[in-house]
Amino acid sequence: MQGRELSLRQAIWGALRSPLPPGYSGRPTFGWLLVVLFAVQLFTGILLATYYQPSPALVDDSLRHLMRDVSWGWLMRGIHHWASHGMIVLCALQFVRFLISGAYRGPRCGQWILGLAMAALIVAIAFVGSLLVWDQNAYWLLTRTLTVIESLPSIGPGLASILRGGEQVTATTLNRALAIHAMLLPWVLSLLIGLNLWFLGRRHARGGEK
Amino acid sequence: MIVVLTAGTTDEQRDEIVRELKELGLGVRAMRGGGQPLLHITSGPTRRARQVLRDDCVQALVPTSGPRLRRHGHRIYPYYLIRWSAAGIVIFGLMVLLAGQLPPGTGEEIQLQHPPATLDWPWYLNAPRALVQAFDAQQRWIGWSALLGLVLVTLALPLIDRTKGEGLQRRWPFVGASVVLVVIALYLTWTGASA
Repeated sequence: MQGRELSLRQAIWGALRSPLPPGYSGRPTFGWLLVVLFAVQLFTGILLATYYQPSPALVDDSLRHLMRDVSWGWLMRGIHHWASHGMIVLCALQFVRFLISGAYRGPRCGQWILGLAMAALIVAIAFVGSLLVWDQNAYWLLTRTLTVIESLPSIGPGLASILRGGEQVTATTLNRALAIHAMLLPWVLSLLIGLNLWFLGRRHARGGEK
Repeated sequence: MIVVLTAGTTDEQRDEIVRELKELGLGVRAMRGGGQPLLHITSGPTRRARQVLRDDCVQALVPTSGPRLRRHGHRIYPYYLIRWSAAGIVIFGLMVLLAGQLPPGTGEEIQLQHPPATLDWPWYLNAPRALVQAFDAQQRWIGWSALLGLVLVTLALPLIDRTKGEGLQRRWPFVGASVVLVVIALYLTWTGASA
């Protein structure tokens, strides 16, 4: 491994050709599974987006069509739904592992901050995604959430107005929720995952992680 | 890979072979064993070492056990890949199983004039909601402040916890606080915001 600056490719390549340390306990697997589930989410999300119609009048029909008429549509939606829960569970397990073992100390400080940001993003993506069903519960959850955001001092009203796209929860709100769920947050999460892998690769090259 | 040189090989001849191996892109370490000079190839594509067999000083090549080699001389240890792939397949299988057994529904039609009596919040928001709602409407800010404080303390943990080592004896206050936090979070997640 030459130099300390590593590309993503080098980081992955380095991980593949690293022998397992004695007493390997499978710890890095949590992070890997998160990446796997994120890839699953991207794949199933793209497939779902080809059938999902972000219009209040058509959401329900498009979801029923997906579940009943589209080949394997029920499976794609089910996997997308459960993988989001799985990601949150894995995040929580990783968080507890870091917390108990004190792995946030020293050179892993940056990764700790990154990990918390990623966990917050994963929860936000899952929550916004659950609103896209646009049923009675989702509509009122969104309304309540926007009310809470609006009550935040100074930035609250402006932020709520941007998210809502006006004074009322309408089709614009649904479109914005979709944009946040499918475009904005996943890109940010991808960036953070890449940054995390880069941190890992760099530490690996320095001999900090066996 | 070990290059075994004949017993009468001089240092000059050995150095010549070392130079030739290095030109082939191999890392070489000279050593002795069994009364014979040996060259241990430590890095690079060892199959190229076969080219030095034509030299009279080279008696044999002895492959050492170890991982396979790929192009550019990178050693491949597929253990991570195998274990990670197995774990990936297991978790994907679990997702398929859940998708089949507990498929997500489509919910009820929206009634703008009739909000539901109780909202079904996602389970992962139960703990923070419980913390905020532990206070009545006038004192809700205390709950929000507590939540914000918890987030800030979590972010600043690397600065707060300056202990060294892994032992429980030194880290017991942090491990204890972590366990208490996890247990409370689990309890609030399980019981929900009504707790």
